[in-house]
Amino acid sequence: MEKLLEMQGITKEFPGVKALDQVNLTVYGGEVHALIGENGAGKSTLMKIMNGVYQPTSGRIFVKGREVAIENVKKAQTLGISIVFQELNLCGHLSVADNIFLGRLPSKRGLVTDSRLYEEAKGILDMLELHLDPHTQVRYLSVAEKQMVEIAKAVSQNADVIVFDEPTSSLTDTEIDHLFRVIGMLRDQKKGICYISHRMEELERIADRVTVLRDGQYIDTFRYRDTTIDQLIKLMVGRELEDKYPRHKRTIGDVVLKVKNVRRQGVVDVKEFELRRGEILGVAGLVGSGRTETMRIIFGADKCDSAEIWLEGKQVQFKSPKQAIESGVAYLTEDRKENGLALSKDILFNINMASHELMAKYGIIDDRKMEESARKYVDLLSIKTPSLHQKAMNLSGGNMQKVVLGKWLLRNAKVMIFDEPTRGIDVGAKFEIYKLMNELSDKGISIIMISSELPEVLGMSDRILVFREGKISGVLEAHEAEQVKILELATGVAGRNQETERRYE
Amino acid sequence: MNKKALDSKSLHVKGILPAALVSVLGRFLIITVIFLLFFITTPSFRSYSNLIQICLAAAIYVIVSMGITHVIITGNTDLSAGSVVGLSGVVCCLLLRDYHTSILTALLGGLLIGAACGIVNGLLVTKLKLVPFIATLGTQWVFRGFVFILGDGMPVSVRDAITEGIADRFYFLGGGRLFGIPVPIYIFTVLGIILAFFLKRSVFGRNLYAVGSNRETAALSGINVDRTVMYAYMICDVMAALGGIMLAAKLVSAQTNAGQSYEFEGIFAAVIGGASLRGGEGSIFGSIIGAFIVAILRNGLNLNGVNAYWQQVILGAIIIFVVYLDIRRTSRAAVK
Repeated sequence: MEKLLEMQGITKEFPGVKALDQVNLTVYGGEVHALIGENGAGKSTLMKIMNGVYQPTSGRIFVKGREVAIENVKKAQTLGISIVFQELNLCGHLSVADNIFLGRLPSKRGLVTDSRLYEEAKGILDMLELHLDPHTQVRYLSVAEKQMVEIAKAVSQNADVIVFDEPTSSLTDTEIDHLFRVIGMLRDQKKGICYISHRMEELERIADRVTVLRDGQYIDTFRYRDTTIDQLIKLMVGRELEDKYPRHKRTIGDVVLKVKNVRRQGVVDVKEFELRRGEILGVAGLVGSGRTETMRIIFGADKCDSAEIWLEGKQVQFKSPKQAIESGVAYLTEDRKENGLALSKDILFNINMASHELMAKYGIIDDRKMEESARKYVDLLSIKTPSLHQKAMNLSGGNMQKVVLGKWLLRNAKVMIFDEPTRGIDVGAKFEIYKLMNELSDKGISIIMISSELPEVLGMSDRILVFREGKISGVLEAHEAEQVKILELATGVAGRNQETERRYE
Repeated sequence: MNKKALDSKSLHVKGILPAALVSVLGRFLIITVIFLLFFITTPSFRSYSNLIQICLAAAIYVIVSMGITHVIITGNTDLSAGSVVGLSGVVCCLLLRDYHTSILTALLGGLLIGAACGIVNGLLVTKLKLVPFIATLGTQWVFRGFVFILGDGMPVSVRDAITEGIADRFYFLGGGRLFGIPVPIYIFTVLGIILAFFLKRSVFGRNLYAVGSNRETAALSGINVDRTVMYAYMICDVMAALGGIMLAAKLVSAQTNAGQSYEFEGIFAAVIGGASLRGGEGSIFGSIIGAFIVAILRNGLNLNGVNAYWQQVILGAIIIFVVYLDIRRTSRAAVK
């Protein structure tokens, strides 16, 4: 087998963070090499280095034995490295054929030779056994079909190494079957496939070798058949639970929020769960498992087929986030920047943003009152800022989070839904957020914390809901929960382990 | 592995073409219905000379709109086109009146001014990264300002300054007839065919759609996004300049307010013709239909004695309605 791509001792530092530390990866022709690791393990950083989006701080890259520097995306393409992105990179208004050959359209004197374009596109689609009409506009395709167009694009660029970034996250089972068959075909054509995923059950079907990353560290590379899923999960999760979480005895009260029969066709089907006063309820599950969707439905932000909600014993129905907010339910979005803050506005504005009518008399806003309340929460949450007039965009991630918190505290929120509260903020700020959550729960506020970071879920929650494929696959008490158990519930591989082991005995 | 499951039925092509076809046919239907409505109800609408009248009224809008469509396809906009109409007319007439150039030179001068305006707009949008709406709103004022400056705030009349023969030939561009059909109709027909062909068949045309559809992807595919947008602005403003020259020729003089708000007529026509202000969509043919829908409506309403103010209300309501239909159509497509 030919070594198509070899990455040696790749280190990537961002200001203040080491995203990758001495990572090695070798992709051979004719193999599917799985790259696994938790969120934040450094998979996507490594991929962006392969693709020329980032430059490594140190380390060497070889393509077919020759040392190279991948300065940009174009260079990666000429070196034969293509990536099939999770967020698809296509022009919806152009045809399938146009997209496959975009930037390299066959032409004569500036005119596109459509006959050749469609013929060649058809050739590639046929080769991949895709039954797509090359004339179809891409926007009318399903996600799976779009992905196939991306694959065709990669193949048309004569890529030797094709990287798949969590390709199955939004596909149905039949679509996944088809994808795997296409990947198998590419493997047979001696292409090197790098397959990034955290769905363990998929490795079983396609992986030849596996490389595990954890916290930016290179852990090891195995032949898949020499290992077991249990072993891989342990390596992936790895670290001991350090005392990063300010453990804390909480007094938990009556049921505050009761939820039943939350349904949206094909996305969410939740039977029931409860949230008690002062409780922190952790919500685990893979991205796309329906955890965020469920919470958004409860908050009134998304449509649903059905949802029964009781808040403090009273049945309620939130038709819009506004109603939820007025009843004391707050939602802190995963994407603080896009949804939680008015970035170009100052702290004063942001903290008061959801409470303007409380600050006003006869519709006229009382500036002094606004300032008082803003100052109160800046102090209470110890937001580090030179003044109330600092623009939100100039704050650090942790402080941004606090401003959002301040906004909801001012609204007297009783239930706070945190969606990935610590994503993208550094360890110190994380600890602050955890302390804050503890303080909030002391004040009798109930918290739902959606998180992909298992240590965080384990460290902070009183109980843990695990989502899988739109359903709650398990509820764990904090003391009986452990990472492996959650991962099993989240990926659904528990049942298959014995089978796996039998196979390799 | 299970072979049958892998012949994935989910990957066959759905009934998609009809959706695109429906949008084109929809426009045809609208224009046909409007046409028939007036045809049946209004006797004076039914004459050959009225038909020519409609074409003449539509001509300059069609020209401006065909140009603006290029910019809209890239996801940008050009609010200065109307001022370019005025500016090119003034430049053209000044060259004739004060410098006694040949008509050809004056023509080229006007078109060059258009190209220059396009370059300015393009630079503002691509190099200075200004929001197109604001950038071209600014140049709209700047270019209009130059119309007043160059003409000293007065219309530039050519009639008295040049010989009868030259004046007649100049007039021919905007108001003359060939085989009984006004010259502007020939101009926009020929240009329409050429531009439609290039938009549809050239690599450049395809790049315009790619940039408008997904800028990032276009750049990642090696398309020079800035240059593409730049050329779009140049085409747009050269077309506007041509419209301005034709308008000036028709009157044998350049009015200071010539072309005012033509940019909106142009955008209006492009959007009615199926262009999306978010980019990636639009066609020359659509813009022509769009401009004609407006012209027919205006004409028919005029003949029925509907006053100009009410016409404005009706046209405004129609564009809102058409855009609403479009959003419905595209969001349905997205849901699929």
